[in-house]
Amino acid sequence: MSLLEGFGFGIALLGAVVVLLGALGVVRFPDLFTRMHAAGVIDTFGAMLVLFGLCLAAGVSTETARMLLILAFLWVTSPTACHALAKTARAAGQEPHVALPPVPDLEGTHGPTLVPSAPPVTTVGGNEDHRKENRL
Amino acid sequence: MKLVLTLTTLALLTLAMGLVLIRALRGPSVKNRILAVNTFGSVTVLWLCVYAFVCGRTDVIDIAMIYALTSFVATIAVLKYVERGDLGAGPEDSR
Repeated sequence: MSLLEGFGFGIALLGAVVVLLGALGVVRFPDLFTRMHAAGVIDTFGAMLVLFGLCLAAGVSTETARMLLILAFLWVTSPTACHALAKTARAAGQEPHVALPPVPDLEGTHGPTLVPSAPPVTTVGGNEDHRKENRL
Repeated sequence: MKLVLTLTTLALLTLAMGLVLIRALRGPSVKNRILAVNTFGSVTVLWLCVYAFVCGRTDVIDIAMIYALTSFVATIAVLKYVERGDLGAGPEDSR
């Protein structure tokens, strides 16, 4: 086994470690959206390391061409599937898990909000817009 | 040496597949399970590519390519069905 082959299989082993870490993330993360990020890491970065390593080990041959085709296809379709899943989940009203507590009220300001239809953050000066409406 | 490296890679990928299956079984909603099965399919593709080097047969890479194509289409179809209740057949499809 030549040095290049050994190097290639080493990179593939690194890729397998990345895939394992991503799978650990899919199991352990608290929310659908964070799990989706871990799965995306597997599909793009893990697949890149494994397949590039195997291409190095195979040298210039038809297997390299086929594996590069597989990699290109995985890179296009996996983020698309993840995006479709995220869009569906968001449209169904699922909120991302937020770890930070909301900012305490300071003269009418509201904390960070992730719902797009929520009322906009008011300024510290107060509710002058509402007063204008009430005036006529 | 080559066998040691490739078999270790296969073992790690198999472990990753097992972990993702845990999410597929536990996942509190359907979308978690769809995500887990899609990831399982992608790791299967990588596993097959490494296996092609273990057994020395290069046609296994073609199996991996076909499975990558099929698993993507299947994920989108299942997602569409779960979201809408049907597969989006229009009025012209039911004749």
